Amino acid sequence: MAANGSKEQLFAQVSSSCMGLISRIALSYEASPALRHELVQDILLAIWVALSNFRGDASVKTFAASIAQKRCISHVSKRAREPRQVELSTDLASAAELPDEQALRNDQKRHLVESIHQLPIPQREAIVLCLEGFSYAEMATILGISPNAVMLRCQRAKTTLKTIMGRRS
Amino acid sequence: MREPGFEELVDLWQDREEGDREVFEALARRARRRGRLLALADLGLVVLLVVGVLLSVFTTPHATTMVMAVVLLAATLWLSWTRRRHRQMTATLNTSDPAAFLESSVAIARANLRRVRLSLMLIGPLIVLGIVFKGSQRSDGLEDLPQGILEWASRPVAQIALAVLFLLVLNLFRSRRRLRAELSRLESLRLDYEQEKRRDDGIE
Repeated sequence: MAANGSKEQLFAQVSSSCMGLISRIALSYEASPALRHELVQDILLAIWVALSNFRGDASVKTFAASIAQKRCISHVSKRAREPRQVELSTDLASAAELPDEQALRNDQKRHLVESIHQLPIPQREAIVLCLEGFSYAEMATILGISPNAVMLRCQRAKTTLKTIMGRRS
Repeated sequence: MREPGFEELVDLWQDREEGDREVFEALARRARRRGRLLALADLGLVVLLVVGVLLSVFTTPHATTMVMAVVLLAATLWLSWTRRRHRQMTATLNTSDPAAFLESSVAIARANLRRVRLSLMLIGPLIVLGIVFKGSQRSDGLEDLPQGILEWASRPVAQIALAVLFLLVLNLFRSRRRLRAELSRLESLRLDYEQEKRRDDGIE
């Protein structure tokens, strides 16, 4: 169990090294920027609370991803209204005038996020962890299934994602 | 649009640092502050109760006592609610298995729904009993009871109390609708996970 001092250090480590990870996991479940802010806040609070039980069995990054995924699932199930297709905000792109290549890249990013939102949640969890570069063993720890099952799930998620992206384009 | 391969998708996905660091760090500071406040909630509740009771005992005017009672009630309810959320959060996060996590989330949602249903069943008769009790204090017998109730109901305090109770009932209905929707989403999510697990096991 983490002592109070080390809890502070671990939380500082999480907030400095897992910013991108936490923000992107939140993005894969919530399109609205305002609600995403709240979700990130909830994830950070949940990590702070759960750090008391962190025993170092897994890396801090795996621990943070596991908690972030669960908070996102709770967020989705508690949503006051059914999610609708929200036009993703322009904060995904640069506000400056964009050259053609940058505009195309921003389009692709938006396209990717919108396609991820359409995946069923078990596959969404897997594909986001794949995109974040977690190993099958780490993903198995987060998802609570065997590495072999993780591999199969990732393959299915990749196929579904490609189908959705193909259909949308 | 060109369809990128998976490595390109990884680049695309990780390319962006969503939101800037300052905003994220502010959120982290706020989360840490809230976490500490939650930990202090128990102690705060005890201090508030002791101070509140002492003030109520030593304050003679009834209005102040009433205000103190309302503040105490509101504070107790708020603290109980936040502590409950806190407990639920830790209870469900300590499991790494999403199936067990969903199972406990479904159990919590069901328990909350049962609690709201029970409150809805009891609140009507309790309000009626309360009104009859108040009316009976102002009447000599059963014949005078309607008159006593009308007399009590014409007082501003009674009207405020009835309005608060009405809002409470509305809120209970709203909670019931929200909890039903949450439960249905959780159950459909559980089905999705079961289906995915069957595919992992090669059954489908």
